[in-house]
Amino acid sequence: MGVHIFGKSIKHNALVRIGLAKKIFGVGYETADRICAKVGIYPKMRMNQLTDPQVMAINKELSEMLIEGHLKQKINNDIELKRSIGSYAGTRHAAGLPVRGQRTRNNSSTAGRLNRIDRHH
Amino acid sequence: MFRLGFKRTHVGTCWDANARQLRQLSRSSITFAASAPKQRDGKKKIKLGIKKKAAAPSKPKRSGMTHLKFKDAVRALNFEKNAADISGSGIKPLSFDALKSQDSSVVKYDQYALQTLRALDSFKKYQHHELFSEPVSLVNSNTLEISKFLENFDSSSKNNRLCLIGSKGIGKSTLLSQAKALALSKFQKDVVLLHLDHTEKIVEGSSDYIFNKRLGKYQQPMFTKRWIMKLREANKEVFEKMPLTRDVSFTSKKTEYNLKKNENSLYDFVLLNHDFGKVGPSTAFSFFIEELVAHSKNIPVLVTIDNFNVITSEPLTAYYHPNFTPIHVSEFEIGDFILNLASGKLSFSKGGVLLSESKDVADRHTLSVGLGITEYNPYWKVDECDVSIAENLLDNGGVAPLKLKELSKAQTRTLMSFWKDVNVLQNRDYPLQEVFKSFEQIASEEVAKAAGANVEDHEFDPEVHFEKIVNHNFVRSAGNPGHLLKSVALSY
Repeated sequence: MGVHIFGKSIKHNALVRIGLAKKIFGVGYETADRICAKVGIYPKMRMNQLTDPQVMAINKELSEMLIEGHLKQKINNDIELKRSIGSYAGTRHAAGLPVRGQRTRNNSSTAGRLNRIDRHH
Repeated sequence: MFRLGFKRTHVGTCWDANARQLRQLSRSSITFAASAPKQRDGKKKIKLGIKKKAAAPSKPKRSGMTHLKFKDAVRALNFEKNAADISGSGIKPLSFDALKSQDSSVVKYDQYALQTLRALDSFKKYQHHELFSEPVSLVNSNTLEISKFLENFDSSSKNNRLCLIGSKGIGKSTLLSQAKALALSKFQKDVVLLHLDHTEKIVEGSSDYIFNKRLGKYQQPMFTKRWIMKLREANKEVFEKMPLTRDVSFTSKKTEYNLKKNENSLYDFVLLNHDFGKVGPSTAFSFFIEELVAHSKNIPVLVTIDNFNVITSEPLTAYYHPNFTPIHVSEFEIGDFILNLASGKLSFSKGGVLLSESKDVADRHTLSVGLGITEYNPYWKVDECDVSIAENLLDNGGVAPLKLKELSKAQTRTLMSFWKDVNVLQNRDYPLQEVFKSFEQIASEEVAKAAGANVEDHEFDPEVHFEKIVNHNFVRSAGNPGHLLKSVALSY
């Protein structure tokens, strides 16, 4: 059984702060703690203990944030912008090479896998 | 696929034989037969992929066992039922009047005190009470110090504040239990016991919290409710003797209650009122404390806070304000209540406050500065010492520290003798038997025999051997009862 928050099913016995951080793209531990503090959820509260008003309050907080698909779109747009203006970072993305000055003699396979123009598709 | 157009005719035994032969060629026999593996001559087909291991046989589930580790399991499985019965061993219950005669002796708790202490969760996990059929303790100089503290109960609690300090295992929590049992004994059960066994529960973030605008404090409904339930169970008789000093009305479980002054007791209030802020901000806890203060002229109140240094060491709790700043412990209703008691701002007309530190908590300077043991150093970092709490503890004459003393050798012997009688301590002769002698020992004896020395076989003398065990463990534990119990019962 899972608790549905922002369209995501989160395990019922997960801590709220951990469940949010693990399941929602763009929400880390710090952001999850901030949301819990604002909504008034105690630190050791678990997903199945959330009441309907609390779930709605969390959804409201999340809906005001740049997360999930919108965040992925923003990242892709930023990369596309870099590519379009012909910046060095944009060319590196296009080439599937490390963007931030890492060496490429060895170990650039992660960059090859991730650094693309359409990073989140 | 082929079908034989054989029609069944009754032509005698000849038909049966033919039918049997033909049946071997039937479709079903071909399809159900296991196909023989195709194998080329001289070549063996190699199977690719991960070799599957045979599934490990599942372990049979044993009933009555537990997933807990040994030290937790012994408590969870109620091993005290298997312990030797101490009811016939002549151990007397702890009594305030006979305390001096009970000095340096092992005592138990009388039935009412035992029931009360159990309701308050006074017996902690790793005190290993499961070794005995019922909890026991040793009366020593620390207990006598506590009896002096109880003698001052005629004065207000702000003049009667004590903090137990000492190394881990020295007996701080046990002394709190003894203090409660002595208070019950001294006042013939007419004493309110407010005991908090785990102060961590206030700060660790395990309870819900709600801001009460009227009080200006955060409330912890779940924690408060559970604590009140413990207090209700432990203090039932004395709460029933306390009539309410003013009318109170509240709603609990969709029922509205109107309790009347002098008609209803404080027990009625804590029995009927289950809501300490769950539905919304509540003043139930403050009403409860006001009632205790009002009745403290006649019925003394003993407040015992175990692990008090949790809130002095980590005053910033795991909870957050809506603006994501941590909440200070003094901003909680219960935290503020404890700090006010410790500082003397909140005082009962008769009673005392007994605090106890825990050695499992990060060491900060707040408590030692608050007790006047260490002087405040302005160069300390902010988290090393909470000045506001330290100053609070120094208010109204300050909290007196009581450093607990270790057991003397005679007390260690008394305690170990009791353990021997109840089969907790094994006084065995195996180190003197021939088979357990070391090679060097045997060799040296043979050399001595060859030289003509008179080497006699040692006979096992239980008393001498017990004295050896006492000496060994007294040196090993340095008179610390917790370490002594571990070294005797848990080391093997």
